[in-house]
Amino acid sequence: MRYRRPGLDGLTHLLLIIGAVIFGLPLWLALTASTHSAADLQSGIAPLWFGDQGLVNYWQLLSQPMPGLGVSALRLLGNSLVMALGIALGKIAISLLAAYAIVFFRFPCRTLCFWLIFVTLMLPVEVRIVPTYGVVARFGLIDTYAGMILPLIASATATFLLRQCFLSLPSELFEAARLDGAGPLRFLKDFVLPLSRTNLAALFVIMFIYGWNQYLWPLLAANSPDHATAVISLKNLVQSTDTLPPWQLATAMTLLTVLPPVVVIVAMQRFFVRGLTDAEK
Amino acid sequence: MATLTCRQLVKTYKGGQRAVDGIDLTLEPGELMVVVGPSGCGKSTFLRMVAGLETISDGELEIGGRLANQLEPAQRGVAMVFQNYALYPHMSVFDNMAYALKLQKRPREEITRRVREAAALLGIEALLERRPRQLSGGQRQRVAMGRAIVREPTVFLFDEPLSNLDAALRVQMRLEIRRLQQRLGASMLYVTHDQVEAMTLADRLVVLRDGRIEQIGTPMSLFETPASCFVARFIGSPAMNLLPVTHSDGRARLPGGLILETEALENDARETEALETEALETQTRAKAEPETAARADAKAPKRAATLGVRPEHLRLDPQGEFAVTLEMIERLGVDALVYCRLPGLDAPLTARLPLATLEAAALREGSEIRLAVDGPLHLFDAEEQRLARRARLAAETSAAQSSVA
Repeated sequence: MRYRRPGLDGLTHLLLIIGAVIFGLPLWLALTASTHSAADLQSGIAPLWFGDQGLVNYWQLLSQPMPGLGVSALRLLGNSLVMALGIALGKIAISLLAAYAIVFFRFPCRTLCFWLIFVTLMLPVEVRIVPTYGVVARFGLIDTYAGMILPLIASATATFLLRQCFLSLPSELFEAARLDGAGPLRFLKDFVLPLSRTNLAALFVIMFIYGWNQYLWPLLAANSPDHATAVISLKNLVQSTDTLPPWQLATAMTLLTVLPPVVVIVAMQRFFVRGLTDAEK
Repeated sequence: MATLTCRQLVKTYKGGQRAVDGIDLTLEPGELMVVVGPSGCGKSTFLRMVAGLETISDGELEIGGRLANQLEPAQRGVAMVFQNYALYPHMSVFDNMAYALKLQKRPREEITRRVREAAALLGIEALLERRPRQLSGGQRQRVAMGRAIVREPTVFLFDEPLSNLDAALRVQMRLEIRRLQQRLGASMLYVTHDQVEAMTLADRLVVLRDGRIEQIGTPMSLFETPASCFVARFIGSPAMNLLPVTHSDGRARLPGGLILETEALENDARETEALETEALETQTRAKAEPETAARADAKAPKRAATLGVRPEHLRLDPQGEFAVTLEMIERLGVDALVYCRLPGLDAPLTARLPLATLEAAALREGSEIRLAVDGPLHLFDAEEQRLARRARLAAETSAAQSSVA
């Protein structure tokens, strides 16, 4: 659909600019605030332009342990990265195999299995948090990466998405491959993976951001500062001390926390858009 | 030794539905056998059972002398060309063709050599680096065949391979498949619903109906002596005219009152003992009794039957048996298809006449014409099975001059 109406073009651009400003302003404020000294920020007026303390603030953040938590920002970002990657890859691995089984194999109660997976959509971590915590604690996985990742990696959404993607592959492809001598695992590797590449990339982006943004579960599962994530640290930064919160560090940390998902999106954008709109088939 | 042997092959689905219902056939080495039938007759299911894509419910399948019922598709020594080609979209043409050999862990030089040979045979050497998406329909078809050739299978299986091509290309690929088959001396099982394709390609033709073999033989033998009305309708284009008649004592009575002398036909029928039916036996007995015509009529009641005559075997003749009204003319170039209405009959009587004759007689829609049978006539019994073979009706009846009642 493409309309050629110059007047409308102007209007749509205006709307887009307003939207961009609304989205961008908080980020801009965080960026400028992170370049001022703590004293500047106590005045209560948010600065709209850069100060001269930018390098100092970021250097402090990256070189010294975070006030209140006692671990460096790099460590926090690293923890977040491990968790987000673990969740994204784990989700993809599990739902890939689940969807593959549901689409390409005939076994009893196949549809039932699919619906069982599907209803877990109604059981996110927030709903089952007490029993999940109990299980993880009994396995002794509190304060481990495994404990932070495992309870989150089953994904009905991803299974459903991949199932739809696999269903769109012509069945003759599978049959031709069988005649050529490809077993199930080889078919998965040689056909299903390359042909659903774009979908997997899109899924990875979504799941990475989901993992990166996790707050409630890591808060419970990672008690020690060693396993705290960047997102959790933001809360700690503004709350932890009796003195006034170090706003210049909090805003700087916010920006650092925002950065990795942005990098992932930009890097995967090509696949991401294609995977969501059209499958190249 | 036969390349492929099927013994009472059966496919039963859940719920007892029989898609393939006892198929017996043997494919000789170097033979191209075409399995033809309308959609839903089980021909694709049958092919897929041979390929190993469908399980075999009952019966035996032997490929190259080995019992293949339980073998994995890849171990059966078959290669299949699919209707939509099923090329691997993410692989180059070369990789498409080499994939099976790679899985067999053949040495790289051998793979390259075999792929190049097959590509040369099909004239697609220039396309080896391309992706399937960049190929035209005919080229994809060729790649699909190349993928089968590279594997050097015992039997090639084709599942309606030409139905996605346009008409001109279909003719061209048809010739090419035939030439390829003769060059390779390959055994092929070819499924199609297109009777022209079937006639032109086949060494032997198998007509399937509801999962059973209706008739099997060379294309010409099926054309000349169809075993049933079904085959008669299916083989030949336009289809054979099938007229419902009641016949007794050497006369066939058409609904409109037309009577044809078919004694010669019935004599023929008696000679074909292999096809003789119970109805036929009663008829012979009835005839043997010396009784009046009326009694004979009562004893041997008029049996419903079907009389078949091909459109090609009708000619314009002022003395002809069939007095008809010309309803529509389809000009095909040299010939014309003439659809006529025979009184008392729903279906039109089709005749294929030379266009020149038509023009000479200045015929148009609505003309009253007479048609004579000039060629074989076929008689089928009430169960639509063949009663009589190839009777030259015209010669015998020209003297008798059947009349319109």
